[in-house]
Amino acid sequence: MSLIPKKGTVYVVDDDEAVRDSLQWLLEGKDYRVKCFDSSESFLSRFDPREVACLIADIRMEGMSGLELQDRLLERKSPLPVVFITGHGDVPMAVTTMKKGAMDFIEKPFKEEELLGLVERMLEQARTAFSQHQEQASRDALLSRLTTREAQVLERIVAGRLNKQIADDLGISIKTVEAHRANIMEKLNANTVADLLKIALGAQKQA
Amino acid sequence: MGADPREVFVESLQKWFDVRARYLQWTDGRLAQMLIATDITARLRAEEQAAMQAEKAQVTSRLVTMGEMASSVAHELNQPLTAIVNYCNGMVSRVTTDSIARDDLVAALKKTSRQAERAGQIIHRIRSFVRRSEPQRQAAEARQIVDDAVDLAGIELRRRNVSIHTYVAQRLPLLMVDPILIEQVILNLLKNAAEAIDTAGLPASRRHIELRVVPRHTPEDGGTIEFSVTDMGPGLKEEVIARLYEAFFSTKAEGLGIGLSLCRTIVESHRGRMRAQNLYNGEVVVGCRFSFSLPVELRERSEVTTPGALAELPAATTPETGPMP
Repeated sequence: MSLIPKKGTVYVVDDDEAVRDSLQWLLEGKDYRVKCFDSSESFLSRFDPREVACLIADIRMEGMSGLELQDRLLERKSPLPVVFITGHGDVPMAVTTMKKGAMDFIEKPFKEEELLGLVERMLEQARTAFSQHQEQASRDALLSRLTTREAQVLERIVAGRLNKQIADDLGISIKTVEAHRANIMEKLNANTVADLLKIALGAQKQA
Repeated sequence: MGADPREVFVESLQKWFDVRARYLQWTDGRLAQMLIATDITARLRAEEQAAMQAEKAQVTSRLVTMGEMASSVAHELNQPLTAIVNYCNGMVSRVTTDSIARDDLVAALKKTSRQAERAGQIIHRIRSFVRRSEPQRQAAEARQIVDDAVDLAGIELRRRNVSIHTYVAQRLPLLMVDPILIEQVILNLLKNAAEAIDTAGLPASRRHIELRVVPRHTPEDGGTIEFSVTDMGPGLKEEVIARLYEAFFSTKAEGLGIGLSLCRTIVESHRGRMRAQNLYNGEVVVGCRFSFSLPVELRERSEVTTPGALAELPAATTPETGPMP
């Protein structure tokens, strides 16, 4: 059993037992953590959306098909990268999934290199999305420290208003504005106005 | 009491009767038997027709199923094949990094060979299915087969706005074939031609198919009947002609590529030949012709007329005629 840390989690959804088992065997041999599901339904009820992971799903399955699974994930606004497994004659369906945002599709039987390449690309995308999400969360946390008045002052700083103008807008003295500014900088761990803008504008992207 | 009804064929009238007998007392006191015969010819003929139609429908659906079977087999085979490839790749990477225990390797190898067996069973299934679907030969008229095929193709041709002209030579010899299978071959060729014309977006003057059935005698094949479907479409590319009958080869986006392969198998199982060729006017392709020929089985008929064979023929059934009062 290798002690190399896992490179990421791969979810496999396929109703054929042998395909699932062999794919898990293949990917685990390359140090990925693999979780298998025999149906879209069981996957949806048990996957952890916070993990850095990717999905390989069969496009044709009894019960909920691969296409429907993709629709469900889109409904949940899940950023989980997905690659579909296709068989002979499934290309039109595969094209549809790609138009809806699937990263790619791969035909059975798989070429090992192609499969591994896709898994890596998907996990790369997942890691990027994950770290962006982390940054966003920490920005939100910082901003929530501000009082209402401080938030109003920050809004005007970002809009490019001078201290005097901010004072006039809010009906307070310039000295008070300066005091608020100092508090804001401290609470947001900002040393320069540029830092301040990064936090404030980054947050605005979400809204 | 002779009350059981019997179905009786009266040769001289060429009709079928349902005959019931009843005993009654005659006016002079003697026991007499009365026979009531009802003409059921029309009913029996209708029942016979219905049975034939049902048989035909079943055979036709058997053929459609054959095609579907072929494509579902392709899909099914893909599963164990995929598993085998995955297991093997997994073993290669573990063995090369020396990171697998012997027992685990053996377990993986066993799983792999189980998948290979699974693939074998799938193949076995299609073989037994095909065996059950061997052609059922009977004496058949080319004209009838052609009429039925053109009939079935009608909807598709109209939908694609393609017209058809059929020419069937007079006094063609009988064929010993499975008419449903030959019908399917013609139907397939007609549909292909119509689709080629439609896909190429030909002008109205070229949206036309010619279906010809003529006798042909060649030194290699002897007496045959040749069926040809000709269109004025763009023809086939050289590389396509080479791969035409390859199973699962298709130039169509949604095609599964089993049609022509199946057609050729049907034709060849009747000891016929199939071919495809572009038609040229000088250097320019002006159309495409798919044709197949079927041998006229003179041998079958002569088998029946040898003296020994005649003696073995079952005695002709004599129609029962009940005593009529």
